[in-house]
Amino acid sequence: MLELKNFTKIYPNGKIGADNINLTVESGDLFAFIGPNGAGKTTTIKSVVGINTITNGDILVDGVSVKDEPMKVKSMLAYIPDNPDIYANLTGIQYINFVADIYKVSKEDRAVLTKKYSELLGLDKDLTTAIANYSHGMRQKLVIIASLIHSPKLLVLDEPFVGLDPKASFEVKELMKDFCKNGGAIFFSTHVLEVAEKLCNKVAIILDGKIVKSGTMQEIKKDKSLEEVFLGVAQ
Amino acid sequence: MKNLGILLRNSFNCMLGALQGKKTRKKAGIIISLCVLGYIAIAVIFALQIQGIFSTMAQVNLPQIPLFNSIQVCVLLVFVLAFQSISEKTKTNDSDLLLSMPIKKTDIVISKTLSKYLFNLVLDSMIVIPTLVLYSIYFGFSMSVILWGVLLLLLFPLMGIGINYIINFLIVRLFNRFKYSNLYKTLFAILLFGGFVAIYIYNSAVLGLQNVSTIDQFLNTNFFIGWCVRIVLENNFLCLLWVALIVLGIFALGIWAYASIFGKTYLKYKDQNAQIKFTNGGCFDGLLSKEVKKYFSTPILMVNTIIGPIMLVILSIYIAIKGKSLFDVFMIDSQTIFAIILLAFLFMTAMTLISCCMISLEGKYLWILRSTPTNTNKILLSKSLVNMIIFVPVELITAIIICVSLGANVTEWALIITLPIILNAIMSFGGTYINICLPKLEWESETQVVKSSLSLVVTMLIGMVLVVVPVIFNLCGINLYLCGYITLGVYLSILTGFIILLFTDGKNRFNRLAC
Repeated sequence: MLELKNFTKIYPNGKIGADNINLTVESGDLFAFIGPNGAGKTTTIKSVVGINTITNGDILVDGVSVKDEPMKVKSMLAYIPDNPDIYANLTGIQYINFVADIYKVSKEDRAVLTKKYSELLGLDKDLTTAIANYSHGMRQKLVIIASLIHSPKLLVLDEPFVGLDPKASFEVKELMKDFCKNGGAIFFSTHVLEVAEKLCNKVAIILDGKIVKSGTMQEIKKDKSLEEVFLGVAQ
Repeated sequence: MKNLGILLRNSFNCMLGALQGKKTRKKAGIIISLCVLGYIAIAVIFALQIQGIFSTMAQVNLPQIPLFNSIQVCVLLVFVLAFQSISEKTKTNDSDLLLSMPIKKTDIVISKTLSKYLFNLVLDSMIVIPTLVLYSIYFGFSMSVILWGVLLLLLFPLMGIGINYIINFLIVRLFNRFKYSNLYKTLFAILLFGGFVAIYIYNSAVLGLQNVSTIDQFLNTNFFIGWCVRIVLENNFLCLLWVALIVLGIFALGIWAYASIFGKTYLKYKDQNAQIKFTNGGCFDGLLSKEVKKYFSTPILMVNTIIGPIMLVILSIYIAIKGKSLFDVFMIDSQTIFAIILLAFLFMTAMTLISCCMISLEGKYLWILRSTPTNTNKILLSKSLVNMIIFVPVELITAIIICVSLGANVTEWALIITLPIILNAIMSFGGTYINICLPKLEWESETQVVKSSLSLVVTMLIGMVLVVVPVIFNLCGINLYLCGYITLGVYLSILTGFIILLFTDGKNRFNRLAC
């Protein structure tokens, strides 16, 4: 589903954001991408979704290159940023309609999916309210609903649990599990290692732009906790 | 193309949403109706403003002058709009979202530019349409004038957008590489904008001296605006070519610049040899230092408030050069000249509005001040004093220069030095109090606070009313010097009132501000 082949990102000032990264995310995978602050997680994620350009190597989504066919790739995935800074002056439903228009979702489909996900995440009664009045958690949920509206194959999330209360966190986790069960794949970064440990079947640890460990959760952890592995690597 | 339509519709929804309000959303129809009414009202007010010049010039058959005047105002508006949205951000709030979607970057850039263009077009039309209507009334209907006027209306916003994009590009790619980038940005913006304002003021002063024999020369010396006038009145295709080349050239360069930086991350200057330095100041020193640094690191605030002091400097230099020959040039007595100069000082003082934004500029960082064991009085005092620190030294030096140049007597010395300082103190302490009563803590860009907050408008109105106080006294037949002393008394009373309000009610209100 997602393949990073010798992916390297060097910024104009010479800083290496990502250095020769090789990763594979299959359908059904819940892939955690962890690392300390400034390691290159967001750089990698933004390159996957086509926001950043790629210096060397390539990124393929379902066999399609981000470099060669970015539009096709973007239509197959959905990106949820760490900070849900969205149009505060729109209502929730206006935002969903905007995203659905871009992805050319039919009126019937968007109605069904909006109802389904908004009820699931408890946002159905707030869709006609201005986003400016939403809490952080509500905005995050709205972005998630909007990202699922076009039934993507790959979900790319940047620290999705930041600012979520336990109930919202639980709901998002359940949604992620269901998404992968239905054949989708999720690639997300997080600092919450316990969640990654319980939720994910695969993990990669990035440090200073390089992948230091990558594989199934069992392979990486062995008989330690993910936190111990991470701290061992980070030091 | 379809995505372009979706993006434009989204921009329109966002703008409408902003007007509808966050808490209780007013109906879109009502908002649109109010906007249309507002548009008509402003256009009518502008028409009434310029109707006099049209009427006068119609009698001497000089259509060039009112047209020149209107086009000049339009170009000034273009510059104001260009400068109003100067930003060092290469990313808008939605740039990552849009770039992650299957939308071409070209479409995103075009949609953002088109939204800006349409907004600027509406504002420019508030000047152009009344001008064309009045021209038809006073000089007779001419289809060519109307068509050329509409063409210029369509071109002008492009120039503003191009200028804005080029300045943003320079800020991001050039100025941010330097240590004192904010200072360079501000100086650059002041030079550019100030330069144009200076030309505008000079032209306005000289415009009234034109007659039939000199108008041609006058239009020739004012190459851009003169060309626009010639296009409209003379169907001058050469002038049209030049104007189109300039406008479209600036626009094309601007679009290239904007597209090249849109959505990218550029790091600011990093001092490789910076050393950790610890200071040992007191609480108030720290607060005041923070406020002054805040002022100098907010280019939009500096540009917006430095005009007053700069105009004072220009005035003092002019008077220092002219000296006492000024009395002969204007053929009025020295007492009246001093009164006019004093009014100019007071006007510039009322335009220097810094403190009325300083609470709002805390924005989402207000929790820092509120959670520290800091005396609220010190916080409020530090926010008020910034205004005085910036303005008073300039006012003192320019006042001294003017008084020495014109040989002022004791009363004139006293009034020119004290009245503006006390008015500045009113704007400082009063502005802070008004800002506490009308805070705007939720904003996405400092421009929203500096350009369009309610506290700024209210403080400015109070300032303007106070400037008029000595004029009112003089109109009641009171002697000029006595007017000055009475005004001094009025100002001192108001200042005392504001200081008491600020450190009693203002203090309580500040401690109750939500953060």
